[in-house]
Amino acid sequence: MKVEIKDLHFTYPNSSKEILKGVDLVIDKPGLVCVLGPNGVGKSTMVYCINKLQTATSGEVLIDGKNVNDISFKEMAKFLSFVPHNEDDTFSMSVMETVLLGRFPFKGETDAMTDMRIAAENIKLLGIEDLAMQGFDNLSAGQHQKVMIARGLTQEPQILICDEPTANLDVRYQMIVMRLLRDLARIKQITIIVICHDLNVTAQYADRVVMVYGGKIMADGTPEETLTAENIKALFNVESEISELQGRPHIALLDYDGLDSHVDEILGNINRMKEEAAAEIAEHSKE
Amino acid sequence: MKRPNFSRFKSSSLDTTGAGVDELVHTYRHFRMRKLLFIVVIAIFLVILTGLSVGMGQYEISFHRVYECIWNLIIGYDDGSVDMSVVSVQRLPRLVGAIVVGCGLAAAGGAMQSMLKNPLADPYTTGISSGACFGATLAISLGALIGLGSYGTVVFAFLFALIPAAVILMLAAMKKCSPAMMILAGISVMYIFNALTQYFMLTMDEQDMAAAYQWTIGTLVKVTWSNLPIMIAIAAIGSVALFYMAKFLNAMNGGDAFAKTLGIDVQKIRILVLVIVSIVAAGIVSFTGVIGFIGMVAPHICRMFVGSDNRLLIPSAMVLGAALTVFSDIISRAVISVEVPIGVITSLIGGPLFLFLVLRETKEVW
Repeated sequence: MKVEIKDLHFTYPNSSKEILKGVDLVIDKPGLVCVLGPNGVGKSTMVYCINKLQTATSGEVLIDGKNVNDISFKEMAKFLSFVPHNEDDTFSMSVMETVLLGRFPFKGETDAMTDMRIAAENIKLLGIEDLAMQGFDNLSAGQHQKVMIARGLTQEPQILICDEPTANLDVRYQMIVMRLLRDLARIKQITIIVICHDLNVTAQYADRVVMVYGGKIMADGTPEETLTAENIKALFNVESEISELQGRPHIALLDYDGLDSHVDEILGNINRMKEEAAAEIAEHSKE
Repeated sequence: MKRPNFSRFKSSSLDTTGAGVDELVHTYRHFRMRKLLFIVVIAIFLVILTGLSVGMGQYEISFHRVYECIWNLIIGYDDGSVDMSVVSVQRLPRLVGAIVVGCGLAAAGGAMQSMLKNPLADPYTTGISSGACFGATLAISLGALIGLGSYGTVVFAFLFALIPAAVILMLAAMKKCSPAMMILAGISVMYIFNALTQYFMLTMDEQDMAAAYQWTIGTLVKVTWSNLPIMIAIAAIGSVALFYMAKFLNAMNGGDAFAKTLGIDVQKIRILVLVIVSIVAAGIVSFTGVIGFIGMVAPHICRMFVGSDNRLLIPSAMVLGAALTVFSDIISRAVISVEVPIGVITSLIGGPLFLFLVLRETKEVW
């Protein structure tokens, strides 16, 4: 399925700050697309405009030529699924029951046996069949991600959106989850859009990297094309050295003077405020 | 240093063969059947409690004879015995009342907990009980002025129990209706109603004050064949509606954003569940007074056995809620010669039982 973002602008209600300032992007090939950018730059907002969790201030998002505003959530759920960043497990169900939620958009269209088979296929695909009858809250963070990906796949999507699937995971599980997503994109021939932060995991597994900065797409291409020292400096304001490992870019982030200049500034502000507050309290106590 | 063989990482680790899918489906169906078995066991327990509850009293009826009388009533045969008369006129309305109260409060409590994602939630969380108490106190205070006869207390309790829900609905029109907002709005309304109730009680004479106080302690004494049809209708329609909402509540368990991407109007479902729970709880509380704990404890006990899938949780909580209420009613009549209001018993039994289960459970929330 083809995703087209055209001149997308976004401003939060009651805010004058424009987050997205005319984003143009076309995703027309299956594969793992990683969206990179510093915190608060609008990468989640941009992706959420695709699955309608956010509504653009202006511009448009088209899926196979159709404006997403003309597609209902229910209709969209049949070809686009969403894997949230984390899941509230106050009252968690079993893994199988959780994965079966992915069949919700098809209720009344497929019978219970078909739904169970599709859920079981995806549980098997992700290799979590041993956990199928366990409670979701008994699982590790990495297993949670696998279950949520299996649930996303149970919607049989053409597009899968994952919001920071590697957050809170140790290095090994970050690699496992990203490799899983890359393999799924290839085997199922679907587009998987992932919001992520880790540069090396992105370099290792992404088919395409989209860098968002200043409300626009700063760079877009293969990991080799995008993950350069210049782009990383521009995106995160950190120095790096790029080498090659297993045929992919490998990023070594460098420590340097001035890295924490903004931290010094923040700490200075906090100390000044503390001193002002202490002076004010002392004055009041005198009175 | 020897370099590891990275080439093995290049191939896919995914099992695309589809082998073992049937086995997994079979295991899951077996897993569900075991959970359904829990409902059957509790239902059998409820049937046994029925015999004990109806049989006990100053005029004792044997266990076997109770079922015979109930069967005769179902098929419309009256053998003219005293047993039949006692069962049909005195004992059965109370038993049916206990079952209706238990089913309704437990279904409402389970749905409320799932909707608010809060283990402390019960049917009264949003201030329903304080609204009902104020309504009843007001009706007792105004007495004949309201002109509704003996129904004045019931009507006022019902109407005022719905006010917290109405306040939340109004707030939801202005602001996003989050679970936290619903709970906080309910607590605010509860404080207002409690203050008003206390004020009216201070201005009452002793007799009215005693009546108002007695009303606040739940009892099944006031349940009769004449008011049962209304209670049954409210609890049955409400419970069926909540059961229908179960799959929406399940999806909302995955978070609002996820539920929205499935095509669920989260705000609408939340409001709808609140309205249904409020009507069910108000319908019950207005006839019986505040019977606590059933609505909170029954869903929690069921979660330990059937999990949090609301399609199983709500019906199982209904059966267990009914069994717990009937059991509490038996205890309320059996322990001492004077009948203790069931509201006292449900809390006295439910509290320690719940504490025991919480301590036994290894997880924070099941």
